[in-house]
Amino acid sequence: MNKKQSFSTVYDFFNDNSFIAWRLFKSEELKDHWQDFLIENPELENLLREACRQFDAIRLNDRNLSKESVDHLYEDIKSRIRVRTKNRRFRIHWLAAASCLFLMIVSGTYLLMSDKGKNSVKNEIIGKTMPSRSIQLISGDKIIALQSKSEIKLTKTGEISFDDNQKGAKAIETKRNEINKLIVPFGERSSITFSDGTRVWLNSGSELEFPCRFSGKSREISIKGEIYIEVAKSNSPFLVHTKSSTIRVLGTKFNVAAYPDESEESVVLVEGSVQISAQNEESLILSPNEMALISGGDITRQNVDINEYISWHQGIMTFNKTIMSEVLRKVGRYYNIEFELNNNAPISERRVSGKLYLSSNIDSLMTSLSILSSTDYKRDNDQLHIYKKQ
Amino acid sequence: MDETQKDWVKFLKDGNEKSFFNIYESSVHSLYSYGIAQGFSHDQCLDAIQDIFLKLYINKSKLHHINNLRFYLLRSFKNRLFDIIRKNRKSEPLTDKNLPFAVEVSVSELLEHKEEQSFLKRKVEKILSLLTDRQREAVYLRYMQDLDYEEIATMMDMQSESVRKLVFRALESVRKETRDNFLKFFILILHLF
Repeated sequence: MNKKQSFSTVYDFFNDNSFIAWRLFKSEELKDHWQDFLIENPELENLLREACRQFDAIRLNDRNLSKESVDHLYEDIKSRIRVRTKNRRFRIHWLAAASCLFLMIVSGTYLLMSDKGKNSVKNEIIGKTMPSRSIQLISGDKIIALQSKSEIKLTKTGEISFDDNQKGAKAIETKRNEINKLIVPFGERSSITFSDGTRVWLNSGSELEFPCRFSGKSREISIKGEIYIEVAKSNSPFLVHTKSSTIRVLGTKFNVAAYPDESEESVVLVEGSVQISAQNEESLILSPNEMALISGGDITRQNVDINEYISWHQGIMTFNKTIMSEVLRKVGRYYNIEFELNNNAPISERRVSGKLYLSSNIDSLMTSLSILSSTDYKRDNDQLHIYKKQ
Repeated sequence: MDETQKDWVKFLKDGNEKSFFNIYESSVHSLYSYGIAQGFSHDQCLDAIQDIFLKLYINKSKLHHINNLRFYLLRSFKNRLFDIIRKNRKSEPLTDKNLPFAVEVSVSELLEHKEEQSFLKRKVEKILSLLTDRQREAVYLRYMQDLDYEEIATMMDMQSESVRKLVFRALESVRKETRDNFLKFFILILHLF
């Protein structure tokens, strides 16, 4: 190989095992050898460089997982992380939990065995539509029942005005320092605009406490349930109180979910920035497209697709690989349907992705949902049946 | 500092999930390939990947000392795989000394030199087939994972001097092959065209 005429194409390098070994082993010894070679044969520099360039395209064991399995695996990792970070403090009690589980298995097996043949687990979820109640506005000793989807406005003079479909707009006066309450039952929605321009959308099953006028240094409201809020900019901070946290902002848009029957509260920020403080003084500043989860005294954060969390206020529910039982919990809240979700039907483990337009017609919503989740849907008066496609 | 390491530093600083995902996405394929090459099943590889990323996330506060995350991930992945199969076969003791190491050669991009590339591919395949499993593993870790001798030694549970010898012997057998078989091999290649 010392004769230069033996190197006239890249093949001549490829046929030289010292070349292959140099590139493949990234060997220092052979690097010197090829540097010497170039000093002797400077005219071959370009050819050698081309051979190296072509060699660099060689891959060993370059197996790629499909995009789908990469995403799927990541979801699994994330859900395991969620479980671990959530249950950290309970881990100490694993022995107690394990013995409970043992008892449950033993008694469960016993029950199953004694029940054998009578009650097999069906792959079906049954829902029941519940009688609807009206939205209530409570101000002092006055209780007013409002129409569905009514929009409420507070004027600068302290009046509360709202639409009354039969009689047009209506207004009531309020007393200073009095706390007012807006109660939105399951199956209803409402929105309210304060005198400073801040607007709050209340999701089903939510309660809002508000003063008729914001006075003093800060603007403060308290909520239970879920709201989406667009806070008007002002120098006085806006505070949203929930059972286990306080969210402090100047002017921004965000979603808060703090349902009493859920162990976790969440805040999802659309724009601006908010400060969240848990009861135990732990606090965190959230950036747009982030969600904070508040559970006990702990606050954790993660990046999210905000549409999944805020689109309800525009009458759309967005799901992204959301588990069926969670979807039905949200749908049930929105339409006041009680779904039986603890019967272990395998379809409640399905993942649903897509958008549901929250029409006032339950059948059309349930039909869309059955398409998204590849299930079948049947209605029997006030009973809804979701079952596996036949 | 490579991209993975940069993402790791960022992740340690603010717990940003995007950085965590980047680390995952940029290393998942090579971890998987490494596991498959050692004869582990698809499911075993995915389980081990899940476990090490869970551990990485949960224990991040204790892992500030890691200065080469790619190497750390490879090593924990390998250890995890061994733990998984040790659990399943208590009878025979298992060491990585008797595991196979298969190498599949492929060519990325550069379509304009198709003929040269397929020639080169066959050539590399031929050379790798002359090596022992451990030599192939060392070459894989050096060429694809860009590890140094120290790191390869840790990965393979050997002294770094032994790795040097291992690679040197591999080099020797490759170079010897040139003299003995060059002509035979060249004629064979000519027939293939």
